Amino acid sequence: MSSSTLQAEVFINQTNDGRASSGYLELVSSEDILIDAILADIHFEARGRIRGEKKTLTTFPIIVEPTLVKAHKETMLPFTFVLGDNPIQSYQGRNVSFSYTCEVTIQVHEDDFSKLGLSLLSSVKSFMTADRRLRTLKQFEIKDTDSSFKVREGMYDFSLKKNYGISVVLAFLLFLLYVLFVPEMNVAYLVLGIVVLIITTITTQGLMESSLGKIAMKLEHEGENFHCTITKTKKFTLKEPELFYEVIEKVTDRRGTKTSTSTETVYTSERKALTNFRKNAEFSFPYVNNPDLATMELDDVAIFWRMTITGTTSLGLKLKLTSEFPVVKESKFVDDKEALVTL
Amino acid sequence: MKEHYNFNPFAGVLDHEVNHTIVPRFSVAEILSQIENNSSIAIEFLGKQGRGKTTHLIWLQQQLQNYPIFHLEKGAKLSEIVQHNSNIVFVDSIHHLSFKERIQLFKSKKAVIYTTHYTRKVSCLLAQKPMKTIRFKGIDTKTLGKIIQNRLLLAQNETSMQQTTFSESELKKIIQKYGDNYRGIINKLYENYQ
Repeated sequence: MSSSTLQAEVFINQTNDGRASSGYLELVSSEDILIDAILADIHFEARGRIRGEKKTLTTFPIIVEPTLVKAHKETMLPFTFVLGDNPIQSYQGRNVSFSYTCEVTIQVHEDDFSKLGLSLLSSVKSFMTADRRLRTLKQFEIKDTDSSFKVREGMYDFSLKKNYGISVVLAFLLFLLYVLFVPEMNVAYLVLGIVVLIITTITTQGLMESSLGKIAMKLEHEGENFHCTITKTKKFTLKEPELFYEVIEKVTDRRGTKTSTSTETVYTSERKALTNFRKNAEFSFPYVNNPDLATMELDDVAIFWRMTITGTTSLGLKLKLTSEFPVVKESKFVDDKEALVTL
Repeated sequence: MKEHYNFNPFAGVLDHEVNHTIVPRFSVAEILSQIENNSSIAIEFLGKQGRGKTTHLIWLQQQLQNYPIFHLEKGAKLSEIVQHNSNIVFVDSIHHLSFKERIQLFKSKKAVIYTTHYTRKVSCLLAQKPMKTIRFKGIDTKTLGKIIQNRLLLAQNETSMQQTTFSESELKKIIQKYGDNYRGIINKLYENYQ
């Protein structure tokens, strides 16, 4: 019966630059143990309302030659790894999470293996594999908290969201006419009604779009905020017009026989009254105080930012105009450097 | 609650974890004997969405790894399946193939095990393919409890002593609300644990 223990714990050096590239393995044994090899894998895991995905990003040796772990002495084995230029940031969203794991496999020398029992340190996941190797897992985060948001400056057009108000009213009127004046079921009238509805919906949308003209916004970065100037080509007014932006998480779930999409607004800014909408209206919005929410588009996961104008026309129709815009993360250091160059 | 788990227990699992979470409705031997005792056969996993058809298909294919699995999406091409040299194939979401393509598929392979919302009896009939249907319908507290337990165990941090269990009455309440829609149940629990 073995009484020796080998404790193993992995530490990843946490950085704030959106990367991780080093760490160390700490081994403590109750007897001298010879280790033949230690290999590490860095895994990326995506979980949520999607089919789980796990990728091994890199595999590297922590020791290259047999190493003796001396009894009752902490053996620290540092390591470095490379994950590429722009690793996906750790993220804990409503519908999806991205995380990283470092998995360390320890190959104990065959003469020493029989001495071993296995002990766990808190927050360490260790287990013995069928081929008599020891494995330890450590979850860690990759987060770029040094960088700040920066809107991609430029002009962005708004598009009008479809408004089915008129169509619903018209459908009701057509239904009333049908009930009152067509005594029997008549397919021809039904088809005619549907065609009239479709044509009316398309025409109404077209008319509204042309009456509004082109509405666009100019976005500029200004430190902790971004500046938004709304421009329009035609004169019109809206009742209670408001402007705000949202950050939206969109996840496509391809599990099973039917694909579905979960769309969640994870942040909504303060709503600003568009009081001077007759002229070019100017606003300043603070960036959301959550470094995880930069614009992102992966296979089935997207985070996007959207500016919205809402208001009511003189005819009582509610309008919603939206425009998506990218917001990236940029190192504060670059900003400082740019500032110096400007000076 | 979160600190007891390495990840949300009700998030989508990795393919190799399916085996740890599933509570199978049938045995592999049962399906294998159907394939071996028939010179030609179509086995359909029939049921509404969220009832576990795809999960069972993935699990079954993992047990019979010599045969490929095709997860079809909109615009899927039949040629990829037909040209594969395996005579036994697993096809998820067969509705992405046209009626004509389904007949062609059934004619070209010895055994096709597939998931579907609606029975493909007519296609099988025209392809002169004997068909066996496995219905994914119904739920009971014992099965649901086991599925939930499996997921909690899979995600549990080994150092955590926490043992979450769902009582019979809790499981009954869940079933009353969601019926046999396992996906709906898992999605609701996902929200609670996220």
